[in-house]
Amino acid sequence: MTKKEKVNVSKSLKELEEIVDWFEKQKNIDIEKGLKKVKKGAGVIKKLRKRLEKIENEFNEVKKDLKE
Amino acid sequence: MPYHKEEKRVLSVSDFVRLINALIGRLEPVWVEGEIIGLKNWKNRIVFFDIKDEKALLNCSIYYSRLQSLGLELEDGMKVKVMGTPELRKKRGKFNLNIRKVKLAGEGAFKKAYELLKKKLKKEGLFEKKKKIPNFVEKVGVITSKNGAVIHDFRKNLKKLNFKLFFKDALVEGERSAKSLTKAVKWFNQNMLDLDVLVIMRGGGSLEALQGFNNEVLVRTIFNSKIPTLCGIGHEVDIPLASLVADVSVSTPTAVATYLNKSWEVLEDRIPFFQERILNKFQESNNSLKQKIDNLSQKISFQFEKELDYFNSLVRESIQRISYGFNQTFNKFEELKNNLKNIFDILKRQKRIVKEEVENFKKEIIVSFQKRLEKKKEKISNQERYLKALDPKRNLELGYSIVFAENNKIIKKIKNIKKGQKIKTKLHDGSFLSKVKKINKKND
Repeated sequence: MTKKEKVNVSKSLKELEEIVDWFEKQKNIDIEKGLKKVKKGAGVIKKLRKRLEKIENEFNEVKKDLKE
Repeated sequence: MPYHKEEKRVLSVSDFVRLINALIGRLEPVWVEGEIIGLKNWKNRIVFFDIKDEKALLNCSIYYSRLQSLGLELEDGMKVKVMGTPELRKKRGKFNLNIRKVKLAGEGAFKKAYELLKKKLKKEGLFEKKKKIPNFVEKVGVITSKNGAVIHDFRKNLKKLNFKLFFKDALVEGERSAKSLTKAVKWFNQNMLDLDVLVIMRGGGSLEALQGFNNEVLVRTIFNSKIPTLCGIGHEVDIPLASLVADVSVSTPTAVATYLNKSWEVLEDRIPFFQERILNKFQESNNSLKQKIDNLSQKISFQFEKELDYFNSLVRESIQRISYGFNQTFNKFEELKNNLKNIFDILKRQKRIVKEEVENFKKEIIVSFQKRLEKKKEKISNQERYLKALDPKRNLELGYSIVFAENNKIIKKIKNIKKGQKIKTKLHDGSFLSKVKKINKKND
Protein backbone atom coordinates (compact mmCIF):
# COMPACT_ATOMS: atom_id res chain seq x y z
CA MET A 1 0.00 0.00 0.00
CA THR A 2 1.23 3.27 -0.83
CA LYS A 3 0.30 6.33 1.10
CA LYS A 4 -1.63 7.64 -1.88
CA GLU A 5 -4.14 4.90 -1.72
CA LYS A 6 -5.03 5.59 1.99
CA VAL A 7 -8.34 7.37 1.89
CA ASN A 8 -9.38 9.70 4.59
CA VAL A 9 -13.10 9.07 4.69
CA SER A 10 -14.21 12.28 6.36
CA LYS A 11 -11.91 14.36 4.18
CA SER A 12 -13.21 12.66 1.06
CA LEU A 13 -16.79 13.19 2.15
CA LYS A 14 -16.04 16.84 2.64
CA GLU A 15 -14.61 16.98 -0.85
CA LEU A 16 -17.78 15.45 -2.24
CA GLU A 17 -19.92 17.87 -0.32
CA GLU A 18 -17.87 20.71 -1.69
CA ILE A 19 -18.40 19.47 -5.21
CA VAL A 20 -22.14 19.23 -4.63
CA ASP A 21 -22.11 22.71 -3.15
CA TRP A 22 -20.25 23.94 -6.15
CA PHE A 23 -22.87 22.52 -8.44
CA GLU A 24 -25.68 23.91 -6.39
CA LYS A 25 -24.17 27.38 -6.45
CA GLN A 26 -23.62 27.49 -10.20
CA LYS A 27 -25.80 29.85 -12.14
CA ASN A 28 -23.84 30.08 -15.33
CA ILE A 29 -22.56 26.71 -16.17
CA ASP A 30 -19.12 26.02 -17.29
CA ILE A 31 -19.64 22.55 -18.61
CA GLU A 32 -15.91 21.92 -18.84
CA LYS A 33 -15.42 22.82 -15.23
CA GLY A 34 -18.49 20.80 -14.36
CA LEU A 35 -17.05 17.79 -16.09
CA LYS A 36 -13.80 18.24 -14.23
CA LYS A 37 -15.70 18.34 -10.96
CA VAL A 38 -17.71 15.29 -11.90
CA LYS A 39 -14.55 13.42 -12.77
CA LYS A 40 -12.98 14.43 -9.51
CA GLY A 41 -16.13 13.50 -7.63
CA ALA A 42 -16.31 10.17 -9.40
CA GLY A 43 -12.72 9.48 -8.44
CA VAL A 44 -13.40 10.34 -4.84
CA ILE A 45 -16.56 8.25 -4.82
CA LYS A 46 -14.74 5.32 -6.31
CA LYS A 47 -12.01 5.56 -3.71
CA LEU A 48 -14.51 6.02 -0.94
CA ARG A 49 -16.52 3.00 -2.01
CA LYS A 50 -13.35 0.96 -2.15
CA ARG A 51 -12.30 2.17 1.27
CA LEU A 52 -15.73 1.51 2.64
CA GLU A 53 -15.70 -1.97 1.21
CA LYS A 54 -12.35 -2.55 2.83
CA ILE A 55 -13.59 -1.19 6.12
CA GLU A 56 -16.59 -3.43 5.91
CA ASN A 57 -14.47 -6.42 5.18
CA GLU A 58 -12.20 -5.66 8.06
CA PHE A 59 -15.22 -5.08 10.22
CA ASN A 60 -16.68 -8.39 9.22
CA GLU A 61 -13.41 -10.08 10.02
CA VAL A 62 -13.45 -8.50 13.44
CA LYS A 63 -17.07 -9.49 13.87
CA LYS A 64 -16.26 -13.04 12.94
CA ASP A 65 -13.37 -13.02 15.38
CA LEU A 66 -15.61 -11.76 18.12
CA LYS A 67 -18.34 -14.27 17.48
CA GLU A 68 -16.06 -17.23 17.44
CA MET B 1 23.88 -5.67 98.27
CA PRO B 2 24.17 -8.81 100.33
CA TYR B 3 21.79 -9.41 103.14
CA HIS B 4 23.30 -9.84 106.63
CA LYS B 5 21.90 -11.45 109.68
CA GLU B 6 23.22 -8.72 111.88
CA GLU B 7 20.92 -5.83 112.42
CA LYS B 8 23.83 -3.58 112.28
CA ARG B 9 22.82 -2.33 109.02
CA VAL B 10 19.56 -0.43 108.91
CA LEU B 11 18.08 0.47 105.58
CA SER B 12 15.71 3.22 104.77
CA VAL B 13 12.31 2.12 103.48
CA SER B 14 13.17 3.44 100.14
CA ASP B 15 16.42 1.55 100.08
CA PHE B 16 14.72 -1.56 101.25
CA VAL B 17 12.02 -1.31 98.62
CA ARG B 18 14.72 -0.67 96.04
CA LEU B 19 16.56 -3.70 97.33
CA ILE B 20 13.50 -5.89 97.12
CA ASN B 21 12.74 -4.64 93.68
CA ALA B 22 16.29 -5.36 92.59
CA LEU B 23 15.98 -8.88 93.92
CA ILE B 24 12.67 -9.75 92.41
CA GLY B 25 13.67 -7.97 89.23
CA ARG B 26 16.10 -10.77 88.61
CA LEU B 27 13.31 -13.26 88.31
CA GLU B 28 12.73 -14.80 84.93
CA PRO B 29 9.66 -13.36 83.27
CA VAL B 30 6.68 -15.34 84.34
CA TRP B 31 3.23 -15.83 82.93
CA VAL B 32 0.47 -15.75 85.49
CA GLU B 33 -3.04 -16.76 84.75
CA GLY B 34 -6.09 -15.53 86.57
CA GLU B 35 -9.43 -13.79 86.39
CA ILE B 36 -9.59 -10.04 86.22
CA ILE B 37 -11.33 -8.14 88.98
CA GLY B 38 -11.45 -4.49 89.92
CA LEU B 39 -10.35 -3.15 86.56
CA LYS B 40 -9.73 0.59 86.69
CA ASN B 41 -8.50 2.99 84.09
CA TRP B 42 -6.58 5.82 85.66
CA LYS B 43 -6.74 8.87 83.45
CA ASN B 44 -6.07 6.80 80.37
CA ARG B 45 -2.56 6.44 81.63
CA ILE B 46 -2.46 3.34 83.73
CA VAL B 47 -4.93 0.52 83.98
CA PHE B 48 -5.10 -1.23 87.35
CA PHE B 49 -6.66 -4.58 87.98
CA ASP B 50 -6.21 -7.68 90.07
CA ILE B 51 -6.08 -11.21 88.93
CA LYS B 52 -7.14 -13.95 91.16
CA ASP B 53 -7.74 -17.61 91.44
CA GLU B 54 -9.61 -19.45 94.17
CA LYS B 55 -6.91 -18.85 96.74
CA ALA B 56 -4.81 -15.88 95.87
CA LEU B 57 -4.89 -12.40 94.44
CA LEU B 58 -2.30 -10.39 92.55
CA ASN B 59 -2.23 -6.66 91.93
CA CYS B 60 -1.48 -5.79 88.32
CA SER B 61 -0.97 -2.62 86.37
CA ILE B 62 -0.35 -1.87 82.74
CA TYR B 63 0.25 1.35 80.85
CA TYR B 64 -2.84 2.21 78.98
CA SER B 65 -0.83 2.89 75.83
CA ARG B 66 0.71 -0.52 76.15
CA LEU B 67 -2.62 -2.16 76.56
CA GLN B 68 -3.83 -0.27 73.51
CA SER B 69 -0.89 -1.40 71.50
CA LEU B 70 -1.80 -4.96 72.41
CA GLY B 71 -5.19 -4.38 70.85
CA LEU B 72 -7.07 -6.04 73.67
CA GLU B 73 -10.13 -4.92 75.48
CA LEU B 74 -10.17 -6.11 79.09
CA GLU B 75 -13.05 -6.56 81.41
CA ASP B 76 -13.71 -7.90 84.90
CA GLY B 77 -14.26 -11.63 84.98
CA MET B 78 -12.09 -12.15 81.92
CA LYS B 79 -9.46 -14.89 82.22
CA VAL B 80 -6.09 -13.63 81.16
CA LYS B 81 -2.50 -14.61 81.12
CA VAL B 82 -0.27 -11.76 82.04
CA MET B 83 3.47 -11.39 81.92
CA GLY B 84 5.48 -8.62 83.49
CA THR B 85 7.99 -7.59 86.08
CA PRO B 86 7.08 -7.88 89.73
CA GLU B 87 7.67 -4.85 91.83
CA LEU B 88 7.01 -3.43 95.19
CA ARG B 89 5.31 -0.15 94.69
CA LYS B 90 7.14 2.52 96.59
CA LYS B 91 4.31 4.74 97.55
CA ARG B 92 1.80 2.18 98.61
CA GLY B 93 4.08 -0.64 99.60
CA LYS B 94 2.01 -3.04 97.61
CA PHE B 95 3.24 -5.88 95.53
CA ASN B 96 2.35 -5.39 91.96
CA LEU B 97 2.96 -7.02 88.63
CA ASN B 98 3.95 -4.43 86.09
CA ILE B 99 2.46 -6.03 83.04
CA ARG B 100 4.07 -5.99 79.68
CA LYS B 101 1.97 -8.56 77.96
CA VAL B 102 -1.58 -9.74 78.31
CA LYS B 103 -3.13 -12.72 76.63
CA LEU B 104 -6.66 -13.83 76.84
CA ALA B 105 -7.02 -17.22 78.41
CA GLY B 106 -9.78 -19.59 77.33
CA GLU B 107 -12.73 -19.29 74.96
CA GLY B 108 -14.74 -17.30 77.44
CA ALA B 109 -12.13 -14.58 77.60
CA PHE B 110 -11.84 -14.43 73.88
CA LYS B 111 -15.55 -14.30 73.58
CA LYS B 112 -15.80 -11.53 76.12
CA ALA B 113 -12.98 -9.53 74.61
CA TYR B 114 -14.52 -10.02 71.21
CA GLU B 115 -17.94 -8.83 72.30
CA LEU B 116 -16.48 -5.93 74.16
CA LEU B 117 -14.41 -4.66 71.29
CA LYS B 118 -17.16 -5.30 68.83
CA LYS B 119 -19.52 -3.19 70.86
CA LYS B 120 -17.04 -0.42 71.20
CA LEU B 121 -16.10 -0.33 67.52
CA LYS B 122 -19.68 -0.57 66.46
CA LYS B 123 -20.47 2.41 68.59
CA GLU B 124 -17.70 4.28 66.85
CA GLY B 125 -19.21 3.33 63.52
CA LEU B 126 -16.20 1.45 62.27
CA PHE B 127 -18.28 -1.26 60.66
CA GLU B 128 -20.41 1.03 58.62
CA LYS B 129 -18.05 2.97 56.45
CA LYS B 130 -17.24 0.87 53.44
CA LYS B 131 -15.05 1.59 50.49
CA LYS B 132 -16.03 0.15 47.18
CA ILE B 133 -13.90 -2.54 45.69
CA PRO B 134 -13.62 -1.55 42.05
CA ASN B 135 -14.69 -3.66 39.14
CA PHE B 136 -12.03 -5.38 37.11
CA VAL B 137 -9.59 -5.93 39.94
CA GLU B 138 -6.08 -6.38 38.70
CA LYS B 139 -3.60 -5.53 41.41
CA VAL B 140 -4.19 -7.48 44.55
CA GLY B 141 -2.26 -7.24 47.78
CA VAL B 142 -2.44 -10.56 49.55
CA ILE B 143 -1.82 -10.92 53.26
CA THR B 144 -1.75 -14.43 54.60
CA SER B 145 0.64 -17.09 55.69
CA LYS B 146 2.97 -18.41 53.09
CA ASN B 147 2.52 -21.80 54.69
CA GLY B 148 -0.62 -23.79 54.41
CA ALA B 149 -3.27 -24.41 51.85
CA VAL B 150 -4.85 -20.99 51.92
CA ILE B 151 -2.66 -19.27 49.38
CA HIS B 152 -2.78 -22.34 47.20
CA ASP B 153 -6.56 -22.56 47.28
CA PHE B 154 -6.82 -18.90 46.61
CA ARG B 155 -4.59 -19.07 43.57
CA LYS B 156 -6.24 -22.18 42.29
CA ASN B 157 -9.62 -20.56 42.31
CA LEU B 158 -8.62 -17.34 40.63
CA LYS B 159 -9.57 -17.26 36.99
CA LYS B 160 -6.93 -16.28 34.50
CA LEU B 161 -8.01 -12.69 34.43
CA ASN B 162 -4.69 -10.97 34.47
CA PHE B 163 -4.54 -10.63 38.24
CA LYS B 164 -1.31 -9.30 39.61
CA LEU B 165 -0.76 -10.63 43.10
CA PHE B 166 1.54 -8.96 45.61
CA PHE B 167 2.12 -11.24 48.51
CA LYS B 168 3.05 -10.36 52.04
CA ASP B 169 3.64 -13.19 54.45
CA ALA B 170 2.05 -12.78 57.90
CA LEU B 171 1.36 -14.82 60.97
CA VAL B 172 -2.27 -15.75 61.07
CA GLU B 173 -2.47 -17.87 64.17
CA GLY B 174 -2.56 -16.80 67.79
CA GLU B 175 -1.99 -13.52 69.51
CA ARG B 176 1.19 -12.62 67.69
CA SER B 177 -0.62 -12.61 64.41
CA ALA B 178 -2.26 -9.24 65.13
CA LYS B 179 1.05 -7.41 65.02
CA SER B 180 2.21 -9.24 61.94
CA LEU B 181 -1.06 -8.65 60.08
CA THR B 182 -1.13 -4.99 61.09
CA LYS B 183 2.38 -4.54 59.85
CA ALA B 184 1.47 -6.05 56.51
CA VAL B 185 -1.62 -3.89 56.08
CA LYS B 186 0.43 -0.82 56.92
CA TRP B 187 3.16 -1.88 54.54
CA PHE B 188 0.79 -2.08 51.61
CA ASN B 189 -0.75 1.26 52.54
CA GLN B 190 2.65 2.84 52.64
CA ASN B 191 4.13 1.22 49.59
CA MET B 192 1.44 0.11 47.20
CA LEU B 193 -1.42 2.54 47.25
CA ASP B 194 -2.27 1.70 43.67
CA LEU B 195 -3.60 -1.70 44.64
CA ASP B 196 -7.19 -2.37 43.67
CA VAL B 197 -7.78 -4.42 46.77
CA LEU B 198 -6.03 -5.71 49.82
CA VAL B 199 -6.91 -9.26 50.70
CA ILE B 200 -6.52 -10.69 54.20
CA MET B 201 -7.07 -14.39 54.46
CA ARG B 202 -6.82 -17.43 56.62
CA GLY B 203 -8.65 -20.65 57.07
CA GLY B 204 -11.19 -21.31 59.74
CA GLY B 205 -10.38 -21.49 63.42
CA SER B 206 -11.57 -20.95 66.94
CA LEU B 207 -11.84 -17.56 68.53
CA GLU B 208 -8.53 -18.18 70.17
CA ALA B 209 -6.87 -19.15 66.95
CA LEU B 210 -8.36 -16.11 65.30
CA GLN B 211 -7.64 -13.73 68.14
CA GLY B 212 -5.25 -11.76 66.01
CA PHE B 213 -8.12 -10.88 63.69
CA ASN B 214 -10.08 -9.53 66.65
CA ASN B 215 -7.29 -7.24 67.64
CA GLU B 216 -8.27 -3.63 67.98
CA VAL B 217 -5.05 -2.33 66.46
CA LEU B 218 -5.44 -4.51 63.42
CA VAL B 219 -9.10 -3.64 63.11
CA ARG B 220 -8.37 0.07 63.22
CA THR B 221 -5.53 -0.32 60.77
CA ILE B 222 -7.84 -2.10 58.40
CA PHE B 223 -10.42 0.60 58.92
CA ASN B 224 -7.87 3.25 58.07
CA SER B 225 -6.57 1.43 55.04
CA LYS B 226 -6.73 3.59 51.95
CA ILE B 227 -6.75 0.46 49.87
CA PRO B 228 -10.12 -1.28 49.83
CA THR B 229 -9.97 -4.37 51.98
CA LEU B 230 -11.38 -7.79 51.46
CA CYS B 231 -11.26 -10.29 54.27
CA GLY B 232 -11.60 -13.98 53.77
CA ILE B 233 -11.32 -15.42 57.24
CA GLY B 234 -12.84 -18.74 58.10
CA HIS B 235 -14.69 -18.71 61.39
CA GLU B 236 -17.06 -20.74 63.52
CA VAL B 237 -19.71 -18.56 65.05
CA ASP B 238 -18.42 -15.08 65.58
CA ILE B 239 -17.34 -13.12 62.57
CA PRO B 240 -13.85 -11.81 63.18
CA LEU B 241 -13.75 -8.07 63.77
CA ALA B 242 -11.27 -7.73 60.93
CA SER B 243 -13.95 -9.14 58.66
CA LEU B 244 -16.56 -6.81 60.10
CA VAL B 245 -14.44 -3.77 59.53
CA ALA B 246 -13.22 -4.84 56.09
CA ASP B 247 -14.93 -3.26 53.12
CA VAL B 248 -16.03 -6.67 51.99
CA SER B 249 -15.81 -9.93 53.79
CA VAL B 250 -16.35 -13.51 52.82
CA SER B 251 -15.73 -16.60 54.86
CA THR B 252 -13.11 -18.53 52.90
CA PRO B 253 -10.08 -17.88 50.74
CA THR B 254 -11.88 -19.63 47.91
CA ALA B 255 -14.71 -17.17 48.27
CA VAL B 256 -12.18 -14.36 48.02
CA ALA B 257 -11.02 -15.74 44.71
CA THR B 258 -14.60 -16.06 43.58
CA TYR B 259 -15.28 -12.51 44.61
CA LEU B 260 -12.31 -11.21 42.66
CA ASN B 261 -13.34 -13.26 39.65
CA LYS B 262 -16.75 -11.72 39.94
CA SER B 263 -15.35 -8.25 39.68
CA TRP B 264 -14.76 -9.20 36.06
CA GLU B 265 -18.10 -10.80 35.61
CA VAL B 266 -19.69 -7.48 34.88
CA LEU B 267 -17.39 -7.26 31.96
CA GLU B 268 -18.09 -10.79 30.87
CA ASP B 269 -21.78 -10.06 31.07
CA ARG B 270 -21.53 -6.71 29.44
CA ILE B 271 -19.04 -7.56 26.74
CA PRO B 272 -21.53 -9.31 24.50
CA PHE B 273 -23.90 -6.42 25.01
CA PHE B 274 -21.25 -3.85 24.24
CA GLN B 275 -20.00 -5.93 21.39
CA GLU B 276 -23.45 -6.06 19.89
CA ARG B 277 -23.89 -2.37 20.34
CA ILE B 278 -20.52 -1.52 18.89
CA LEU B 279 -21.07 -3.79 15.96
CA ASN B 280 -24.52 -2.43 15.33
CA LYS B 281 -23.43 1.15 15.70
CA PHE B 282 -20.55 0.61 13.38
CA GLN B 283 -22.74 -1.16 10.89
CA GLU B 284 -25.21 1.68 11.13
CA SER B 285 -22.60 4.33 10.63
CA ASN B 286 -21.16 2.34 7.79
CA ASN B 287 -24.52 2.10 6.17
CA SER B 288 -25.21 5.75 6.66
CA LEU B 289 -21.84 6.53 5.18
CA LYS B 290 -22.69 4.39 2.21
CA GLN B 291 -25.97 6.18 1.92
CA LYS B 292 -24.22 9.48 2.13
CA ILE B 293 -21.79 8.57 -0.59
CA ASP B 294 -24.65 7.37 -2.75
CA ASN B 295 -26.55 10.55 -2.11
CA LEU B 296 -23.59 12.71 -2.88
CA SER B 297 -22.77 10.82 -5.99
CA GLN B 298 -26.41 11.02 -7.07
CA LYS B 299 -26.46 14.70 -6.34
CA ILE B 300 -23.32 15.27 -8.32
CA SER B 301 -24.52 13.27 -11.28
CA PHE B 302 -27.97 14.81 -11.02
CA GLN B 303 -26.52 18.28 -10.93
CA PHE B 304 -24.20 17.55 -13.74
CA GLU B 305 -26.95 15.96 -15.78
CA LYS B 306 -29.06 18.98 -15.13
CA GLU B 307 -26.29 21.14 -16.37
CA LEU B 308 -25.66 18.83 -19.21
CA ASP B 309 -29.35 19.00 -20.10
CA TYR B 310 -29.27 22.71 -19.90
CA PHE B 311 -26.16 22.76 -21.98
CA ASN B 312 -27.79 20.40 -24.42
CA SER B 313 -30.84 22.58 -24.55
CA LEU B 314 -28.58 25.53 -25.23
CA VAL B 315 -26.92 23.59 -27.98
CA ARG B 316 -30.28 22.47 -29.33
CA GLU B 317 -31.52 26.00 -29.25
CA SER B 318 -28.42 27.17 -31.04
CA ILE B 319 -28.85 24.44 -33.60
CA GLN B 320 -32.45 25.41 -34.05
CA ARG B 321 -31.50 29.00 -34.47
CA ILE B 322 -28.81 28.13 -36.92
CA SER B 323 -31.04 25.77 -38.82
CA TYR B 324 -33.77 28.38 -38.78
CA GLY B 325 -31.25 30.78 -40.26
CA PHE B 326 -30.27 28.16 -42.78
CA ASN B 327 -33.88 27.52 -43.60
CA GLN B 328 -34.46 31.17 -44.03
CA THR B 329 -31.54 31.34 -46.38
CA PHE B 330 -32.61 28.16 -48.00
CA ASN B 331 -36.11 29.47 -48.49
CA LYS B 332 -34.68 32.59 -50.07
CA PHE B 333 -32.58 30.41 -52.22
CA GLU B 334 -35.67 28.51 -53.26
CA GLU B 335 -37.30 31.78 -54.09
CA LEU B 336 -34.28 32.80 -56.04
CA LYS B 337 -34.35 29.50 -57.78
CA ASN B 338 -37.92 30.00 -58.67
CA ASN B 339 -37.15 33.44 -59.86
CA LEU B 340 -34.32 32.12 -61.92
CA LYS B 341 -36.52 29.43 -63.23
CA ASN B 342 -38.99 32.05 -64.24
CA ILE B 343 -36.27 33.99 -65.87
CA PHE B 344 -35.15 30.92 -67.64
CA ASP B 345 -38.62 30.20 -68.68
CA ILE B 346 -38.96 33.65 -69.99
CA LEU B 347 -35.65 33.37 -71.65
CA LYS B 348 -36.60 30.06 -73.05
CA ARG B 349 -39.79 31.45 -74.34
CA GLN B 350 -37.94 34.40 -75.63
CA LYS B 351 -35.47 32.15 -77.25
CA ARG B 352 -38.21 30.19 -78.84
CA ILE B 353 -39.78 33.31 -80.05
CA VAL B 354 -36.49 34.52 -81.34
CA LYS B 355 -35.89 31.20 -82.92
CA GLU B 356 -39.26 31.27 -84.49
CA GLU B 357 -38.57 34.73 -85.60
CA VAL B 358 -35.25 33.71 -86.89
CA GLU B 359 -36.89 30.81 -88.62
CA ASN B 360 -39.44 33.09 -90.02
CA PHE B 361 -36.82 35.53 -90.90
CA LYS B 362 -34.87 32.80 -92.52
CA LYS B 363 -37.86 31.76 -94.45
CA GLU B 364 -38.54 35.27 -95.38
CA ILE B 365 -35.00 35.76 -96.40
CA ILE B 366 -35.07 32.65 -98.44
CA VAL B 367 -38.30 33.69 -99.99
CA SER B 368 -37.07 37.12 -100.66
CA PHE B 369 -33.84 35.76 -101.86
CA GLN B 370 -35.62 33.42 -104.11
CA LYS B 371 -37.75 36.22 -105.24
CA ARG B 372 -34.75 38.25 -105.88
CA LEU B 373 -33.15 35.35 -107.52
CA GLU B 374 -36.19 34.96 -109.64
CA LYS B 375 -36.00 38.60 -110.42
CA LYS B 376 -32.36 38.28 -111.21
CA LYS B 377 -33.04 35.31 -113.27
CA GLU B 378 -35.70 37.18 -115.08
CA LYS B 379 -33.40 40.10 -115.39
CA ILE B 380 -30.73 37.83 -116.69
CA SER B 381 -33.05 36.25 -119.14
CA ASN B 382 -34.14 39.67 -120.14
CA GLN B 383 -30.56 40.64 -120.41
CA GLU B 384 -29.99 37.55 -122.34
CA ARG B 385 -32.70 38.40 -124.58
CA TYR B 386 -31.44 41.82 -124.75
CA LEU B 387 -27.98 40.62 -125.23
CA LYS B 388 -29.16 38.27 -127.81
CA ALA B 389 -30.61 41.13 -129.49
CA LEU B 390 -27.39 42.88 -129.09
CA ASP B 391 -25.26 40.15 -130.57
CA PRO B 392 -23.01 41.86 -133.14
CA LYS B 393 -22.88 38.78 -135.23
CA ARG B 394 -26.59 38.98 -135.71
CA ASN B 395 -26.29 42.64 -136.28
CA LEU B 396 -23.53 42.02 -138.74
CA GLU B 397 -25.81 39.59 -140.41
CA LEU B 398 -28.42 42.21 -140.41
CA GLY B 399 -26.03 44.42 -142.28
CA TYR B 400 -24.35 46.24 -139.65
CA SER B 401 -20.48 46.42 -139.73
CA ILE B 402 -17.78 47.25 -137.25
CA VAL B 403 -14.92 49.55 -137.90
CA PHE B 404 -11.59 48.92 -136.37
CA ALA B 405 -8.56 51.04 -136.23
CA GLU B 406 -5.22 49.60 -137.30
CA ASN B 407 -4.58 48.70 -133.76
CA ASN B 408 -7.85 46.70 -133.80
CA LYS B 409 -9.63 49.24 -131.64
CA ILE B 410 -13.25 49.69 -132.41
CA ILE B 411 -13.94 53.07 -133.70
CA LYS B 412 -17.12 54.37 -132.33
CA LYS B 413 -16.79 58.09 -132.80
CA ILE B 414 -15.99 59.99 -135.83
CA LYS B 415 -13.49 62.20 -134.12
CA ASN B 416 -11.25 59.12 -133.68
CA ILE B 417 -10.93 58.90 -137.43
CA LYS B 418 -8.46 60.79 -139.39
CA LYS B 419 -8.33 61.37 -143.06
CA GLY B 420 -6.06 58.97 -144.76
CA GLN B 421 -6.23 56.55 -141.94
CA LYS B 422 -6.51 52.94 -142.82
CA ILE B 423 -9.46 51.24 -141.33
CA LYS B 424 -10.69 47.72 -141.21
CA THR B 425 -14.34 47.06 -141.63
CA LYS B 426 -15.74 43.88 -140.40
CA LEU B 427 -18.80 42.29 -141.97
CA HIS B 428 -20.56 39.18 -140.96
CA ASP B 429 -18.73 37.09 -143.50
CA GLY B 430 -15.42 38.95 -143.74
CA SER B 431 -13.65 42.23 -143.55
CA PHE B 432 -11.90 44.66 -145.79
CA LEU B 433 -9.36 47.38 -145.49
CA SER B 434 -10.03 50.86 -146.72
CA LYS B 435 -8.63 54.35 -146.57
CA VAL B 436 -10.57 57.27 -145.30
CA LYS B 437 -11.11 59.89 -147.90
CA LYS B 438 -13.53 62.12 -146.40
CA ILE B 439 -14.92 62.63 -143.04
CA ASN B 440 -18.48 63.83 -142.52
CA LYS B 441 -19.42 64.90 -139.10
CA LYS B 442 -23.05 64.51 -138.24
CA ASN B 443 -23.55 68.09 -137.41
CA ASP B 444 -21.93 68.95 -140.50
